[in-house]
Amino acid sequence: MFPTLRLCAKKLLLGRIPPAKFPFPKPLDPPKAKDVTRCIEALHVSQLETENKNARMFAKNNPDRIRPGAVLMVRSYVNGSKDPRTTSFAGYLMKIRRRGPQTSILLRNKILDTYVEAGFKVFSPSVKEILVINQNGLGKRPRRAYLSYLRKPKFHLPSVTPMIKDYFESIDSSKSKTDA
Amino acid sequence: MLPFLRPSFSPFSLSHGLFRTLTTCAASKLPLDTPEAVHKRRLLRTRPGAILFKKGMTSVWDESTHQQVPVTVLQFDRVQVVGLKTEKRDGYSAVQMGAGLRLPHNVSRALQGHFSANGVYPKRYVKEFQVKDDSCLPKVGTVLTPEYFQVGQHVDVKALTKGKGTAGVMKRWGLSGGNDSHGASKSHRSAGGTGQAKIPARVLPGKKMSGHMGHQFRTVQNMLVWAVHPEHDCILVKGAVPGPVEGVVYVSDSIIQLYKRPSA
Repeated sequence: MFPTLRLCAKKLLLGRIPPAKFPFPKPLDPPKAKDVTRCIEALHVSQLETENKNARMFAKNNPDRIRPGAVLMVRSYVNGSKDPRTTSFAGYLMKIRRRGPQTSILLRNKILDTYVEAGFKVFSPSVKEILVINQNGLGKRPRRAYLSYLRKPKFHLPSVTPMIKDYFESIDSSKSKTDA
Repeated sequence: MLPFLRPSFSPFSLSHGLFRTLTTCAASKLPLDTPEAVHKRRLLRTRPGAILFKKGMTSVWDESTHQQVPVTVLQFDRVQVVGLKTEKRDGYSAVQMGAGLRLPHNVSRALQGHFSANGVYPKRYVKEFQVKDDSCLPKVGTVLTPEYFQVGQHVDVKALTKGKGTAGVMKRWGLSGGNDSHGASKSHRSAGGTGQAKIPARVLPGKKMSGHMGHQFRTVQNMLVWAVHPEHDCILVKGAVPGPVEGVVYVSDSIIQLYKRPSA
């Protein structure tokens, strides 16, 4: 696909390739990007990182990134770009699946004695915001990247609702403090 | 006795194609069957296409629908007009486009002369794109850049599909095969019966059987150009394109757009 002209020029000098019989103009330059798909993906990711505030939260090179075991609340748009209505889901962060623009997270919560897991694509335009309710909701730092053991009855966790209540109460109280 | 129903010639009862034919012929006052009249009503593009290379696929986010959009990356590699076909000399108007690079000593003397005469370094891939008439022909040596296509326009993408070799009847034609169990003897993926009985006493032509599959030219019509990236010499089209990665792809303006009735 991209034969090296320099090598051919060298071979011409050495006499291994016959010189061209006809006059040709200088050949055009090849495209600069060898692996275009990767360049386009990188461009897309950098665009998302500048526009999307959720980007730095899960970036591997961020020392203050969110780690599995955190308690997050995701607000996502329900009905396309025209409708401002949102729905919320909160839970323990079980897994961060890093795939560039398709990076996704898996949250697990207990809603009325039923355990529910929900996945969210972090860079999706339907995700409005991701709130960090608790940097670590498990007490101990989990020693796994994928907390699938939380599905076992031995490791079942309580609902995240009290934590959310505390979170919003502390926000309100800090607001009232600043107002006062 | 049933009343004799005569076809009404209102524009709403004719097919769009027939309506177009009759109006263009009426406008030009030409009879329907001369070569000039036939050429006039042919749906030919006014711009040549480009020869691009399929470089891979990614996905992007659509802000308006909040959905993930699969896109194919098509790259421009030294796409240049290498020759022209004119009505006067060849009887039709076409643009000979070239892409890629071939070293002169790897190209036949005849082709070397052709490229040299047109002032172009030899190309790896060369293809003609027919256009409507001589007025649509660009200059020889014109280089095509990604800005040739606009974001939001539709294109037809033609490429050689991936070869599948000798494919069985289930893969090639989607036949259901036989039972996996229940006593089926050595007939899990076969076609089963191939015809009727004493009549016609033969297998009819066109019977779906195993054989070579793939490695054929296929056109995907009306693909949306999602993005144009001049700095990377590429465009993104929505959807999948035939052929393998690094394969050659012929992209031209969508012919379906030519079919569309101009909105009144």
